[in-house]
Amino acid sequence: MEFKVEPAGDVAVIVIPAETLEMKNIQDFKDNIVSHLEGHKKIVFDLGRLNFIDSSGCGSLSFCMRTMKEKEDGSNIYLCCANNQVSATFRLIRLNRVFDIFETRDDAINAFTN
Amino acid sequence: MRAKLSISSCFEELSRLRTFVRDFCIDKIQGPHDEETIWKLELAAHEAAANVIEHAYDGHKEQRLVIEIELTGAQQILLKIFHFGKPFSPPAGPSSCVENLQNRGYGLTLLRESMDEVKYLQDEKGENCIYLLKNLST
Repeated sequence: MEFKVEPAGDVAVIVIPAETLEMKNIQDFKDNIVSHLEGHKKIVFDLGRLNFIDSSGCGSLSFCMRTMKEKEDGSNIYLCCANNQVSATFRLIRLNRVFDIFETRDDAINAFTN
Repeated sequence: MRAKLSISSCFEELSRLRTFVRDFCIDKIQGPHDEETIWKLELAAHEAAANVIEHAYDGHKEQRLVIEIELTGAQQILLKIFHFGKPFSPPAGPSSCVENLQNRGYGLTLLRESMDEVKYLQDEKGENCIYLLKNLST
């Protein structure tokens, strides 16, 4: 899985390229996202292409957040552009308690800079 | 009204399972709660089958799962997932806590939160059945 990184000042906007994040591709996701987590302090995951996420996909997002927190330098990830189903899945497991989730990319970027 | 699907025990088959559930529900469910009910059924079927593949069959791809879906007379959608893998007993105690930022363990929570009833059954021949029930009125 290749990630497109779009810089917005010191914020790295990473577009999740897959339509689903689930058991069949989460290892590919985790293997390839790690270098981006290490290389940036402020990350926005753009979930606009995602139309399905399962529990393992939610777990892989938790993995990303934990990786950032373990750096202990204020690193953080915001999420944006999740569709109704993906957002509802996050609410079912209360992932919205650990991630700030924004409707638009600009809202997420502005939240970092404000 | 009932339909049946057989899939092999590999994760790549789960999109076919979700399409099967979605297509049945679109055809049979009418009313104001359509879309939310349908995606919860898709999600539950996916999670239950993924658990079978990973844990009951230890990831072996040559096994089979049989899925039956039914609209009952009591306006419920009943999903049954049959397999001959290792039986499962859900752990006692609280669900995984997302604040702990665990990698795994959210599947059972998603199942319980999206369905009205979840049961793990086994018959005398050793065939296991994951029983998922969704009331269409909720």
